[in-house]
Amino acid sequence: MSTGNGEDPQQALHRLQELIRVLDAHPDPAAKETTRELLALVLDLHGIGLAKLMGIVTAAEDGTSILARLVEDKQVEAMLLLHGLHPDDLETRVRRAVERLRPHLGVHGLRLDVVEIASGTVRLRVHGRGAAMIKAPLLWMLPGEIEDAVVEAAPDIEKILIDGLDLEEAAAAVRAAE
Amino acid sequence: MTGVERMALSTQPGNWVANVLRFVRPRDVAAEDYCNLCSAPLAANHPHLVEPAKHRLLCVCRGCATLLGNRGDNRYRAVPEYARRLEDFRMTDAEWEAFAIPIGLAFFVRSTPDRRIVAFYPGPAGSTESLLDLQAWAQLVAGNPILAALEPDIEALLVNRVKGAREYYLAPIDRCYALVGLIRTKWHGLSGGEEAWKAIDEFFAGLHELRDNAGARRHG
Repeated sequence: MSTGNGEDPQQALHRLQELIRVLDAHPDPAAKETTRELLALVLDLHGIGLAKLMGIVTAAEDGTSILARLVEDKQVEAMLLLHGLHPDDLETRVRRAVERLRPHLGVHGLRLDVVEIASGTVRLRVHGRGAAMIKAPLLWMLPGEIEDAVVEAAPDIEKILIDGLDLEEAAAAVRAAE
Repeated sequence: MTGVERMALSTQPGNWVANVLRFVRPRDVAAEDYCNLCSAPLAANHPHLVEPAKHRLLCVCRGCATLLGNRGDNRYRAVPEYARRLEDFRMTDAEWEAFAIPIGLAFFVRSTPDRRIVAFYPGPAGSTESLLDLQAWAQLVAGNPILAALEPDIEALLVNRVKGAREYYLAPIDRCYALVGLIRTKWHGLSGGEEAWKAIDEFFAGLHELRDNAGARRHG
């Protein structure tokens, strides 16, 4: 990639979103529209080719094991996610991420459940002996940790909502307990 | 939610796929339009897949349509893009009356799970299945061999005999459902009303254009 950022996928994705924010606020609507169309066209060209490629891989005798190896590579996985070609659908990826978080939350007496996944919005709920019992630093980190883990597995979700972790109320309860 | 503040501090790229797609396809993304298989945002002119075993029509993205629609295992079948007007189709009034369909609109589909031809006609309550006179159908196929090639589940013989019309199409099944939806929402009273008939006329005019314009697929 010409910017040299392509080798670090994380950095490239940050830069990608930064450029889109710049373009989205661009004062010249014609320039913005041309760029948007260019990006859409390039994405479509790649997307259709990739869809066919995935079709060939899926149909292969050891297709399942090749798919597993493909998504192990973070860069290949990112590309499949962008084109909506990941072998696991959004719900499967979200549920798996939640599953992986469970032991970590369990240590603190909390349980994480998927309430609803609909139209790109994921709604989770934290249950347990009450967020107020957890020490403040962890409590403040928790929403971020959950969000990071889920969004990393499913960067195609529009919005994530976490119920049961009312920070202000919990913080007040922590202060009262001290 | 604390997301906005926190995202700025996070070293993770966040929901970057959603952010890219929102910019790239702003007009395409309606709140409820997501691929039924992979949840990617959908364009207004997205393709459809039929899942015959479940009698389902799925709205899907191009990727899923390409990937799953032509696998040959028949779990999903891609709905064709175009309608074809059958100029040489022959059907006498007596042959039509043998089907005993109360209005001049109907579509006939070869159903794989049901292992038979099924006839539907649209009405104000949605589509109604008509008990098909198999002998009448066999006679129609004998006079019009093209019907033997009707693609099961994804394509229909669409008959338009309203107001003196005698039009016959091999039509994508999603267009037939769109017609049913159109009539359900626009039909008023016994005779339908002006608005409903205008919509039906527009539907058939659009079906003619479908041949030249692949982007004309919309929900009814």
